[in-house]
Amino acid sequence: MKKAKKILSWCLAGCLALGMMPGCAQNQQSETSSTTVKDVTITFMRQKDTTNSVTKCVSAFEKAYPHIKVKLLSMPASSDALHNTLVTALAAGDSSFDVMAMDSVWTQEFLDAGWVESVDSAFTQSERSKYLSSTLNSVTYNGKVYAYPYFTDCGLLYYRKDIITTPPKTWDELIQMSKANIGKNGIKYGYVMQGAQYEGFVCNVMEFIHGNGGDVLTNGKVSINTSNVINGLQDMKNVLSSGITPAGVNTYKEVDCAQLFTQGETLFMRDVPKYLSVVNADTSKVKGKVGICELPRGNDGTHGVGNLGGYNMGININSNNKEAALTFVQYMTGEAGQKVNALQGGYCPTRSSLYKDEEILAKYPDWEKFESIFADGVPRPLTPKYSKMSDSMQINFNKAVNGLLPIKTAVENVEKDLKSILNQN
Amino acid sequence: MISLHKKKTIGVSEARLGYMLVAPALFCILMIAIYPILKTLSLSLYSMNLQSPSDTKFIGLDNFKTLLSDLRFLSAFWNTIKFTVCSVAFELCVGMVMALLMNMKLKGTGVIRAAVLVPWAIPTSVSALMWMFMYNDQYGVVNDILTKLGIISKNVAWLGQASTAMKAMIFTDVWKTSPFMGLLLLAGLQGISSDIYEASAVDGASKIRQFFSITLPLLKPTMLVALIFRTIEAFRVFDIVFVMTGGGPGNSTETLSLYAYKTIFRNLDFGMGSAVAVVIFLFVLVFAFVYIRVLGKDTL
Amino acid sequence: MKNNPVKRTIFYIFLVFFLTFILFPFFWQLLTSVKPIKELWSIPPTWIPSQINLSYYESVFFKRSFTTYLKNSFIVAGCTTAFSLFITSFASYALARLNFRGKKSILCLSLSVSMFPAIAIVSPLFLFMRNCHLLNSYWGLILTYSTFAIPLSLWNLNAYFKQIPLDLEESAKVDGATPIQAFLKIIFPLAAPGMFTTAILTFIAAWNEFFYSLTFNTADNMRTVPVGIAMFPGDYDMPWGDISAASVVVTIPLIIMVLIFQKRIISGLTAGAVKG
Repeated sequence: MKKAKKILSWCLAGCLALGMMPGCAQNQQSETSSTTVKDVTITFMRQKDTTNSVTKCVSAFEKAYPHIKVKLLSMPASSDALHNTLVTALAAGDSSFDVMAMDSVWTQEFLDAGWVESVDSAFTQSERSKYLSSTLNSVTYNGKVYAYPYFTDCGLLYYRKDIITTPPKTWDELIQMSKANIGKNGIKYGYVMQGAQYEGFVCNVMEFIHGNGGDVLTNGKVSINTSNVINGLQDMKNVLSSGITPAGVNTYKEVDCAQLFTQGETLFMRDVPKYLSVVNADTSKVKGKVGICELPRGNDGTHGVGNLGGYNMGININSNNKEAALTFVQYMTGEAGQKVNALQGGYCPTRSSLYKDEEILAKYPDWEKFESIFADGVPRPLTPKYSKMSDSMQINFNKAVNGLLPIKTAVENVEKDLKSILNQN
Repeated sequence: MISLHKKKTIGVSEARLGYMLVAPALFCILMIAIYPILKTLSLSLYSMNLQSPSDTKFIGLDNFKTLLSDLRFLSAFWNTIKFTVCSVAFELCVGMVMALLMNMKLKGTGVIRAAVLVPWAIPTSVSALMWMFMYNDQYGVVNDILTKLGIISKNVAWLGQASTAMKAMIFTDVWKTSPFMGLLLLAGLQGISSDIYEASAVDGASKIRQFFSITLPLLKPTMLVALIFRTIEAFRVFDIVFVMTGGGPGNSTETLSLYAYKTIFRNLDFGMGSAVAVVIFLFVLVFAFVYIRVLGKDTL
Repeated sequence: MKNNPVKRTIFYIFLVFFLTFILFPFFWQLLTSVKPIKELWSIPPTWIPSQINLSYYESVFFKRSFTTYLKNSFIVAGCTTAFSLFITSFASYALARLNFRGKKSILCLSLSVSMFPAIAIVSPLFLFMRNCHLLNSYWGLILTYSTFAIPLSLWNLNAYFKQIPLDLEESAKVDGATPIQAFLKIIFPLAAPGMFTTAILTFIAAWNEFFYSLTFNTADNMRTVPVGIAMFPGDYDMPWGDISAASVVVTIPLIIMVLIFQKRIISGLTAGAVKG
C-alpha cells in the first residue's frame, strides 16, 4: 500500500510538472520585438511568395535602411488563410507583427474594425497622384487613407492567337467563335472560367454584370434588380450551357483554368494577369500562342469590364514599431519596390508610371495593354459589409447559373439580402 | 499533493483514489477548454460583430430565433445530417468488415493492418485535395477508370453537380475514416475471449449466429466509443467540404461548420457564429445521448 | 477455418478488394510523385510514367523546409500522445474499476469538451495562448491537442479496461495486491493492444490537426506537416508533384511504425492470460 501511494504521488507530481513546464520553457516569442536604441526588427505578414520577389525587395530595403531588420511571416497562398489568421490575431490585439498584406476585398472590413493605423498624413497628395485611382479607393475609408496599394489584379480574356485573329467583342461572339472552332486544331473546349463557389466566382459574375451596363450598387444604393443585371447573368448562363465549357467548369478556380488552358485544348479563358507566366512556361503546350485582351461585353454594355482586385499593405494598429513599419511600407510600395515585385514576381504595379517602364515592357510586352484594360475595370463594392454581400451573391448566382434557381428569383433574393445587409429597407 | 506525502494517511478510500486518478486528466482539459467554451456559450447570447464592437449587446436567445427562420442555416443543417448519418453508417459497416478481416488468423492480415493506416496518415487537408484531383472532370482518374470499365460514357464532374457532390464527399470521408472504426473495433474483438466462441461452437452455433449473438453484444462498448467519436467528427465536418467544394455548387454541400466558419471569419459575426457552434454542440450531444441510451446501458 | 478452402478464397477476395479500396489513392499519389512534369496534367491521365522522376522528392527535402515540419509534427503528435495516454490511463482505470460517484458525469464532461467546432473556440483560445506566451511553441499545441486527445483516449481505454475480466483482478486482490499493483501488473499488460490502438488513434488525430496549428504557430520553423503542405501551393501554381511526394513521405514512417508494433496491436494475450 505504501509503495502504491508513493508511485501514485510521483505520477501526480509528474503530471503537475508537465502541466507547469510551458510557463517557463519553450517561449520562442519573446525574441521578436527587442528594441534597443536604434535597431528595430519589424515583422511582415503576407501570403507566401514563390517567386522570391519579396525576399529580394526586403534585402534591398535592409541595405537601404541598415537599422531596420525585416522578418517575413509567410501564410499559405490562399487569401482565406491569411484573412483568418489576421482576424484571429488582430481581434486579440496581437502585436507580434507590424505590417500586413490585405486583400483589397477585405481591406474595408479591416479599416472599419479599426485594426489598421492611418497613414493619411504620411501619404502626400503628390504621392497619391502616382497611384491608379481604383487602387487608392480601396484603402480610403471615411475620407482618410489607411494603407498603401501593393499590387493590383484584373480579369482578362486569354485567347489562342494562333487560331483567333480578332478576339470576340461580345459574349455571343465568343460562343459563336468557340462553336466554330471546337473539333479543329485540337480544340475541345471554347471557354473556361472560375465557376466554383468561392470569391473568384463573384469576380466572374461581376464581369458579366458590369459588362452589360449593370451594377450591384449605384451611389451606394442597391440597384441589382435591373434588366442589365438580369441579362448579364443570362449571358453567363448562356456561356455555361452552350456546351463550350468543360463539364467541371463549376468546380474550377484560377489555377485549374490555367492548367487546363496549358494543355492546348481550350480556345478562351478568363483569368488574372499572373497566369501569363504559367501559360507561357516551358511545360505549357501553348507557349507563345496566347494573346490577352479585354473581356467581352454583353449586348447592353459599351465595353468589357474586368474585375479589379489586388493587395494593400497596412500597419497593425497595435504595432510597437509604427515608424519603421511606415518606412518599410513606403519602400515596398514605392517605385523601386514595385518594380522588383513586377520584374521578379509578375505582380501588377499600382503605380501608373511602371506600365511605361521600358525594362518591364521588355519583359512583359503584353502589359502595354494593361493601362487601358485596368482603366475600364471596376472593383467589387467597396464596403465593410462586402463579405456578407458576397455570400448572398455566391449562393444565389451559383444556383442561378447552374440552373437550380431562375435568374429573376436569384436577383430578387440578392436584392432582399443586400438591402437588409446595408439597412436600406 | 502534500497530503499524499504524509505517511500517516492510512488506507486511501477507493473513492478518493478514484478522484485522484481522474483529477489530472480533468484538470488538464478544463484548464484549456473551459474558458473558450464558456466564451462561445456566452457569445451566442450576444449580438456581436467585430466590425462594430461598440454595438455589442445581450439579446438572449434571439440569435437562435433568427437561425430558425434562416433558410441557409436550415439547408446547412440538413446537409450536415445527411453527411453525418450516411458517412458514419457506411464507416461502421466498412470498419466492421475490416476489423473482422484483420482479426482472422490467416496470412495477409498484417498487410491490411498496415494498409488501413494509410488513408489516415495523410493529413485531411491533403487527402481532400488529392480526391478533388481524382474527381476532376479532365485529368481525374476516377473518370478514367469508370470509362475504361464501361460504367460511364462521358466524363462526369463529380463535384460540380448538386446530385453527386455530396456523395463524392461522403465516399472520401468513408475512405478516410473507416480505418479508425476498423482499428477500434479490432481492439474490441481482441478483448473477446476465444473460450466463448469455442463453447458456442460446441453447441453447434453457425459463424453468422455467433457474430450476432456473441460478437456484436460484446463489441457494444467499443462500438459505442467508435460511433460517438465518429459522429462528433462527422457532424463538425469542415476540411473536406472547405477544400473540395467550398459549399458549392449552389450551396448544395454547405455544412454547419462551414456556415459557422463563414459567419465568424468572413462576416466577423461572432455572436451568430457562436450560436451555430452551440447548435452543433447540442446536436452532437443528442446523438451521444441516443447512442448511450441504446448501446451503453450497462457499459458506462 | 484454416482448412476450409472456400472460406479462404472468400477471405482473399475481400482482402484484395479492401486493399484496392484503401490503397488506390495512395498508389495514385505515389505514381504522381514520380511522373515527369509534362505527364502530371495529361488528359486522360497516364498510368505508366514514361520515366521515373525524383525531382519532387528532391524539392521536398532540399528546397522546402519539409524536414522541419516533419520534426515538429513528430514532437507535437508524439508528446500529445504520451502526455494524454499517461494521464488518461490512470483516469480511465479508475473510471472502469473503482467505485465512486460522478463517473458518468466525468466521462460526459470530458466528451462534451470535444464537441465544439474548432473554429468557434479558436479565438478565445488564441487569447489564452497569447497571454500564456504559448504561441509559436510546442507546448501550446500539445496542450490544445490534449483537449481532443484526452477525451478520445479516456473513452477508448475505459472501454478496453471494462472488457478485461474482473476475476483476474479479484484473484490478484485475494493475493494481497493493492488496486495500483493490480493495475500495473495485471490490467496494464492485458490492455496493451487497446493501449497501442489508442496511442495510434491519438497520434494520428494530433498529426492531422490543421486549424489550431495554422493559427497558433505562424513562424515557419514551428509549423507542422499539414500546414506545411498547405504552404506548398503558390500564387501561380498547384505543385502536385511536390504535394504527392510530401504525402508519400509522411505516410511511410507511419506504416513502418505499425509494422514494428504489429504484434502489440494484435496480441493474443487476453485469451492466454485467462487460461493461464
